[in-house]
Amino acid sequence: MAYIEFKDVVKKYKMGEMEINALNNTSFEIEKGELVVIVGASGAGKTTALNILGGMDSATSGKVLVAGKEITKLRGKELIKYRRDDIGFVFQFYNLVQNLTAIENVELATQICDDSLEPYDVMNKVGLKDRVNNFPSQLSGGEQQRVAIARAIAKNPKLLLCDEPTGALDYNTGKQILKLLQDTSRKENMTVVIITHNQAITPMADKIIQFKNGKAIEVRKNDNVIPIEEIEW
Amino acid sequence: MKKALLKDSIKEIRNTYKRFLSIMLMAMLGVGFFAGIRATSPDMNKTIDNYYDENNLYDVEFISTLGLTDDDLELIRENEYVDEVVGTYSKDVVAKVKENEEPVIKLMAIENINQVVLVAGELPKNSNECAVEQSFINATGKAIGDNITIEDKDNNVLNDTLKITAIVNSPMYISRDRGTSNLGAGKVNYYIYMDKSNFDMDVYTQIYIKVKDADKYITGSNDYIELIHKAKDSLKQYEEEINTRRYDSLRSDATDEIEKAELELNNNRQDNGVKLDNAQTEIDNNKVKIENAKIELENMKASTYSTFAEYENQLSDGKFQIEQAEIKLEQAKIDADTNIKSLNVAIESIRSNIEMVDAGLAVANQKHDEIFYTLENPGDLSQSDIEYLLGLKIEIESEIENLEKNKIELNEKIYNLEQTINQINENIINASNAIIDQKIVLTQKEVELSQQKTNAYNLIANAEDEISSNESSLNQAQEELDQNRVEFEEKIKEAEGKIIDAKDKLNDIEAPKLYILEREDNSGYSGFIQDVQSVENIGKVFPVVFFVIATLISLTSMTRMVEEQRQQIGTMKALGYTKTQISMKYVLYASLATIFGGIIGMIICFYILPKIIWMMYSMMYVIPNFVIEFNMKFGFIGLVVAIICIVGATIYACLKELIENPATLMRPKAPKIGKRVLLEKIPFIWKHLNFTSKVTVRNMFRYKKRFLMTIIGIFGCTSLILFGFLLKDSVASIVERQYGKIFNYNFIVTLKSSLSHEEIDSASREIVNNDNIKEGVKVSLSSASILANDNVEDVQIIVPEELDQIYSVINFIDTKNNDVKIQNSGVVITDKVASLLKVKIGDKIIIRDTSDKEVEATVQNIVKNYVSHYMYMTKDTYEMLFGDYNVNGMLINTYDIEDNLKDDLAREIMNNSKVSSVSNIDSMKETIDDMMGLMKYVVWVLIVSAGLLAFVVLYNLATVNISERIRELATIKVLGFYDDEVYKYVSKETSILTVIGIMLGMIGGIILNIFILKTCEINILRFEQELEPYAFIVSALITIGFTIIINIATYFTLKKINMIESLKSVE
Repeated sequence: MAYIEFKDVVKKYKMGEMEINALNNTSFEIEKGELVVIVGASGAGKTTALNILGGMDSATSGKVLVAGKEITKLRGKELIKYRRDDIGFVFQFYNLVQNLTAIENVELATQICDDSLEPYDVMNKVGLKDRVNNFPSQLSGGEQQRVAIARAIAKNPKLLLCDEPTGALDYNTGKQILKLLQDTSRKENMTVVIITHNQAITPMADKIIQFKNGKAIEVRKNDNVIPIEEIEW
Repeated sequence: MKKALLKDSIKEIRNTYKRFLSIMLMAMLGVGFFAGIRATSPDMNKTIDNYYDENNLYDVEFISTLGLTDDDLELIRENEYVDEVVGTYSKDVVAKVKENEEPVIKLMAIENINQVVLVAGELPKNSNECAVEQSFINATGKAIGDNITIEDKDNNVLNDTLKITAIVNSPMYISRDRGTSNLGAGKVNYYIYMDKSNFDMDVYTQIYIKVKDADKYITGSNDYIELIHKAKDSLKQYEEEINTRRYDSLRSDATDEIEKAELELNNNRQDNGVKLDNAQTEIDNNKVKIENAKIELENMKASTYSTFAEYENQLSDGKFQIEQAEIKLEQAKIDADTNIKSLNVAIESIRSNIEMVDAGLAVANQKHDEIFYTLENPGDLSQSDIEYLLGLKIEIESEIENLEKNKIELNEKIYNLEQTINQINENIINASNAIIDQKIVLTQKEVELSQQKTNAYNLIANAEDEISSNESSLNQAQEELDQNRVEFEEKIKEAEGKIIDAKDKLNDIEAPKLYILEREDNSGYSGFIQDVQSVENIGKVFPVVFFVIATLISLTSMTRMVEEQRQQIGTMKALGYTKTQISMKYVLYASLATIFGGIIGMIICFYILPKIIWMMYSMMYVIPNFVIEFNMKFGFIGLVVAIICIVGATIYACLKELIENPATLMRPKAPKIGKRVLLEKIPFIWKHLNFTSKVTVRNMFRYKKRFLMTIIGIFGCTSLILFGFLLKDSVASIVERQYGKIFNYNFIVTLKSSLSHEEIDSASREIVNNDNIKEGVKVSLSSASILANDNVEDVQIIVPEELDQIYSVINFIDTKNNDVKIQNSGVVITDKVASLLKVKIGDKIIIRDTSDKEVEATVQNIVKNYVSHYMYMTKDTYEMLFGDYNVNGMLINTYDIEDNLKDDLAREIMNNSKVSSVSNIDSMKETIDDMMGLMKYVVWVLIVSAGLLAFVVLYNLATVNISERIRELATIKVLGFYDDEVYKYVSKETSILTVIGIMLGMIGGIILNIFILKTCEINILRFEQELEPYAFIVSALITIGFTIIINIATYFTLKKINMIESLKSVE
């Protein structure tokens, strides 16, 4: 049995009288420690899948299992607990709390987790040892995203979900962020799921899932993983 | 405005209806409160004016201490200002309701002026009917159809048993105060209206005047007052004439009456004197008759007695004779016995002689027989012997013969003797028989006599009875006559006394005093006008609070709205719309909200607020038919102010954004950057704060505007509630302060005027001579006006006879809490009047007494006082300023006794003939306590409006707070914060701000209270802050309660935040 199983998941949105199927019987599996890239055009349903995986949204039908836990059955507080303990989330726009310093943003996450990592160590890991006391507004976009990643991994999650983590960053910075994610996955044996519409970065992934029209049309294992530094686009 | 923009604006409203509603609500509150409260006082004025007009209430009233006449009526009628003039009666009487319940009633006549309002039943038409007020019915349990009995010592009322036919309201008494009386405990309890015909009075007690055209003006308005003052000035010209005429006529009437009385007295004296004398003569004659009868009876008695005595003498003679005879008889018996004895002896001796004879005979016979035998048998015998024997025989025979003869003789003698004895016995028997016969006769005579005596005695006794009964009835007649005489003399004396009294009174007749009064002098009315003034004052202050808050809230709301639409604004600006055109949408949005809200507020509050305020006042006043007018002026002003505030705030918010160039606008507004706060530089504190506390502290300083707004909102809410409680307590404390701390006395007793010094002394001794009275201080009570700095205020002057005594019934404390002693250097006045007149210690003031005499005095000191205005001075100062000093009252301090004992005491004092009135301080307390009931509602209104305010403000802020930080909140939700952790993350700062707001609100409440007390202060009262801990605790708790409600709402809003939507890329 795979670490993460996404089985026949359907997600329907009601838009007035219309019904839209954001996910249409989607299934895929992810193994522990894998770095997965989900690619697809806008509206293909990849974010919806990520949201359901991250416990932020519920599936209309189908089954999602994470480390043997059937999260589609979780309700209310259980779902929050799942997010709290098992999930790290990295957003496109970092979503740092502006009013908190870098380290405090990390602490914001660690203070609610039981087996969290030491915020300073994590900051060190993401290479921001010297910027811990800076406010987000004093940091560059890349640095902010690093803080966001630090905040996500400091919780020591089972699953790190990243929604277009480089979407708001320039090429080089984006690359650095992706490297950080790749390194994290490798070094910490962290399961990382990255959503992107950039087909170019797929070679860095252990598994590539292609979305189209609410379906994972292709799930492909990448036997030839290329370090991000070597990828150009 | 372009069509597209208009469409956009309307869509905007639909989409953000919550924001629109909140602005509407603020406008509603602001405009509503302003217009509603401001409209209330004109509504109240209009109501009282309508009520007075409908019931034809007087404009000017004449009262004279000696009454008013038809001549006065005619005189007044001539005046150019006078439209209608009515002379009428009123009289204070005591009603007998129950055993121990004798309320003081003011009887009045039903007139065309001051018409009563019929509540139930039918107005009295006959002189034995009456109409009562509702509270009388409530208090006594009487109903229409029942009878009540009244007691009027002066007999000014014809029928004293009156049938209740109606319940009425009198426009004369709109408040509960029924005025003072010289009956009972000194206060009128109820009014009762009767038909005029039931009054039996020579003169009118009042004359009521309607002034021409006065009804055209609203009562109490400046125009009205001006007209009435002109009329009063003009009417004042009759004062002299009315007074003089009444005085003269009273004097001449009194003189005539005295003369008549004297004449009558003399006639009476003569007539009755003759009658009494005649009666005496008759009695005397009867007395003589009885005396004669007595003498006759005595004579009769004497003759009767003498007759009886004679008879008795005779009887006793007879008795004596009988006794004598009996004695004789006894003697005779004794003699007879002796004789008989001696005779028997003789008989015996004779008998023994006879025996001897018999014995001789026997011997002789034997011898004879022996001889005769021997002779017969002569044998042996010799003849000699025979012869001898024969001779002896013959001898013996002769002897025998002799002896026989002797015996006969002797027997004859015995027979004779026995005959004699028999004779003697017979004599004695005869004699005793004779005595017995005599006795019988005598006894018969005795019986006869006693019979006669009985008859005679009866006769006499009857005669005596008759005489004595005649005598006693005569005595009775005499007694009666004597009594009649005594009575007659008493009556005469009494009549004489009355004449003397009347003469005294004639001399005592004081020059009458005429009072020309207006509606302002009616205590109910003046109280009402003052209350209207208070409402007006509150209307000036209160809505300001709401306007300020409304402005601030709209500012926050609209700023947020403009910020949210930065990009749209930027786009439009880029498309070439002008600033005005772009702003138009928001201005329109705000204006529509304001206008709709304002109009709704007006509609609701024009109706509701005056109604609520009126409801509160209607507990103190009986005025029907509250007039609610849609007062456009205030509505318009309120709306304009609201538009200026709210739309102004909107324009400000727009302009702030619009100055930036389109490019900047199209980029998302950089979130507010985080900053270190000052607190972080104090590691000692900062390090000890936990993570969320640190976040909270940062956030509080990050959103300064919201920080301020929350504090202001909570501050406003707490202040209003605290203010409500403080106001209530402050007003309530007046009673305790004035009648607990300043005045120690319980009664003010006023003595009748025209008492001599001796009478005053004795009266005061009589009054104080009561176990329940601790002390009584003799004072002179009068009133005067003080003039200073172009102001005039009326004060009551209290001047003690003994200066030292006054300190035990009144506490003189200056504004710095030092004891004050009254000195000869000037007068002491109370603080409120000092502040009204703007005078300080050492200033000169002019005192104008009731006879318009003006004197100058120095203010020696100013003392604390809370109710009414007073001036105190020493007797010496008084004499120096005004001349004669006269005690006319007493301040009585009782021991701590129960209320009903106090009432009894008041009644007891009132019964003293030298007392003219007693007023009980407790009843003043009650009047003020009644106001407290009102304050309860004021507090409620304040709590409700404060709650509304708190809701609107906090809800708005919470909404803005959440919408502004939605991404941040969504993020922490994604991070896995539980709902309550998310809630805490946000609410912690609100809680801290609430606490700060509450603390500031406490100060605000105190300040607001001080401010309102100053603005609404009634002229004669001085309010002082009363800070009770409970008020602070309760107002804090209520505010916290409101915050909790808002926080619960926030909790659910937070729970509903959609993470996915919020985390989508910035638009």
